[in-house]
Amino acid sequence: MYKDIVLPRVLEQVVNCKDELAQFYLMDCIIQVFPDEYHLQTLDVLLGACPQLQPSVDIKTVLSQLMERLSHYAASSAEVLPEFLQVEAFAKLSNAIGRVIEAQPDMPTLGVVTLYSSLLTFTLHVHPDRLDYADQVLGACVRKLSGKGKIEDSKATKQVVALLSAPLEKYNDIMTALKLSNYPRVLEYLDVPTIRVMATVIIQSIMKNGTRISTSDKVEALFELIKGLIKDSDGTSNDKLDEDDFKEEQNSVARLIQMFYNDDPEEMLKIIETVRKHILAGGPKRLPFTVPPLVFCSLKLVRQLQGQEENPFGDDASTTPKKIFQLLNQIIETLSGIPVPELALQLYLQCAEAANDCELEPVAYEFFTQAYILYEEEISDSRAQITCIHLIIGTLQRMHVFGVENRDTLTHKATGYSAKLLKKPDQCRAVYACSHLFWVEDHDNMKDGERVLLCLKRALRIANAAQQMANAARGSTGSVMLFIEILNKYLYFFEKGNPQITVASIQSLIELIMNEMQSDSTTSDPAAEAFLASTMRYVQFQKQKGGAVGEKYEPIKYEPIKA
Amino acid sequence: MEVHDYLKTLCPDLHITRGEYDEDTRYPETKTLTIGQFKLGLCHGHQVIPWGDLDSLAMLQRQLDVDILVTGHTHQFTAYKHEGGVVINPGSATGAYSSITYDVNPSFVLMDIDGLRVVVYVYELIDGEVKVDKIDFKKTASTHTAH
Repeated sequence: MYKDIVLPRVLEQVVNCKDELAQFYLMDCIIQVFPDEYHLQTLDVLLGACPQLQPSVDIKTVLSQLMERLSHYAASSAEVLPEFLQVEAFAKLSNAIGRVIEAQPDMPTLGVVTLYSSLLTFTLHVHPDRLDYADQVLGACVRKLSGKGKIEDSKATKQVVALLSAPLEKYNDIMTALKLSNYPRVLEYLDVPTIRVMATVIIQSIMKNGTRISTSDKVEALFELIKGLIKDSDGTSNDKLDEDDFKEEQNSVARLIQMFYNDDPEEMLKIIETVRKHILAGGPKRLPFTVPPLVFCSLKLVRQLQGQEENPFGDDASTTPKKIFQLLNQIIETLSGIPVPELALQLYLQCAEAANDCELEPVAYEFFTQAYILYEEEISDSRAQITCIHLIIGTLQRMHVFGVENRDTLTHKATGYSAKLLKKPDQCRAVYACSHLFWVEDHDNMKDGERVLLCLKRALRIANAAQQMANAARGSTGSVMLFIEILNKYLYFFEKGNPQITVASIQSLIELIMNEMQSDSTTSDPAAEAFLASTMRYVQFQKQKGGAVGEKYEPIKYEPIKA
Repeated sequence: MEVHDYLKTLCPDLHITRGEYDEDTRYPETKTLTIGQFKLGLCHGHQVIPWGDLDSLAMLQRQLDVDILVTGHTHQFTAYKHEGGVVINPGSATGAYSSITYDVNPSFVLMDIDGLRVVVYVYELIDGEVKVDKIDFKKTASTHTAH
């Protein structure tokens, strides 16, 4: 009855009254008052009345409200969905909107976008699997926006963001959203800052849903979408962006890169190459953020391939660790001149270690060479030097792939750098750290007791020099801390069975320390005293162990200082 | 900065020592603090060579004069007890790549310090499941003199 009698008559009245306020109000009433099932069945009639209304009526709000009601109705229960299909709701609504927009060529952007936004929400609820419908809506929106340039009205911008966020929220999968060919086209109409906001929204959606991005094509499409974050847009610079915001942005890109993964090494390599291509365009401000995650992704791939047997029948084109290392070299090289030498040095050393694990001696040597060059030419800050020396020594200590000559060259350089640090205490510590370069467990041919002792003695000389300098400069010798540290190293190698470290040498070092501590001219240092005490406790524990260990330590004598 | 802020929301009393990738140079190389009856020392560990070597770490522990040394760098959980005390490495909370450790399982540690006893709870994510283990340490009444 409603359909055949009531509605047509009511609508006739509405149209005939020709009063825009009344029309708007009455249409609104009809939509809100009557149940949704009725609306579905009478869509033709209802929508047919719209173009007949006064041109000044805010028809877009009317239509939006209708669509919103129908969206909620669809969301309320799955059982009602077939009805939507049966009455071809989507087609009718989309035509109606098209007609309205055509009839009002001066409709502002906000109006257009609001209409399409409501239609899209409707589509997502009613036809979630019809990506083509969603794409159609976006396409229609793009056509309407074309020729108008970037959107400047902030309300319209918000609506576009809502329009673009809807598929993300619905599908929970950026890859599905990417299948909408018109999606990136809508994005183009936003101004630059908003594009970046959208890009961040997209990345957050990926992180929240743990979306796997697993092919280089998908990476390509995704980077195209978020290109506002990856590189400067033509003409604009980043000066306007707050530094903290910029860092956060780039950190989210870095996290995103870590999410790219495919089990198949060939595809993974393609992904890495695609990422590299894109991040290169990012320029010096972005590379320090984007290069490290790419390097570590590549190193993970190397490790994955390590486990696999080298395929003798594999052709030259297949993915091998060697290939990846070549790529890594190029990737890290992009950091040169930015300048971030410590970062580059660290990354080179990581690669060296990975090459070591792959038994690729020349590759490992090359990475070390690059690291050393950086150290010599670009790292002049004292604190940075200390950190880098530790990394160099620590990495070198773990390398087993080097032949004698290569190892000697690198070790010699490392000890040289250590002895040239600015402050004597730092020199001393770095030099005694180098002693470990000559003593590697699990490799009997790398246990050179003599060179260990030479290192420790060199450290002692530096410690002595430090004392003399302190005496000359300040009138009292400095703390004995360094001597106690060296003593501990003597004990370390004594424990490990270095025949060059004799009980006599340990004993005389202890005596030297005791003398220094009791001397009036030495600055008292509670920390050093505590260290000596704990060291002697250690010796005591070892003696108490009995057996071979106890015997070894037994001859070491120590008289604690009377308080 | 984001991670720093996040950690502060977990507990405002936050102590940090510098790792080799930390750009913030204000973080110290080592730190010591006292909790209850225990003296704790903190050091990332890239400065202690050989990396992960328990004897070298014990030397640092003696130098800092602490009962418990908390260290990292290797991304491998270890808890090492010796006569001088305990060395704990909680591993990597994110399971990040390490040149030193293969197959890093994300892990972290909670320490419950109660009187002379400390219980270490280690949480590890292994094959998608969280596994918890517990290790007890007791400190013998102190034999060394107070300073």
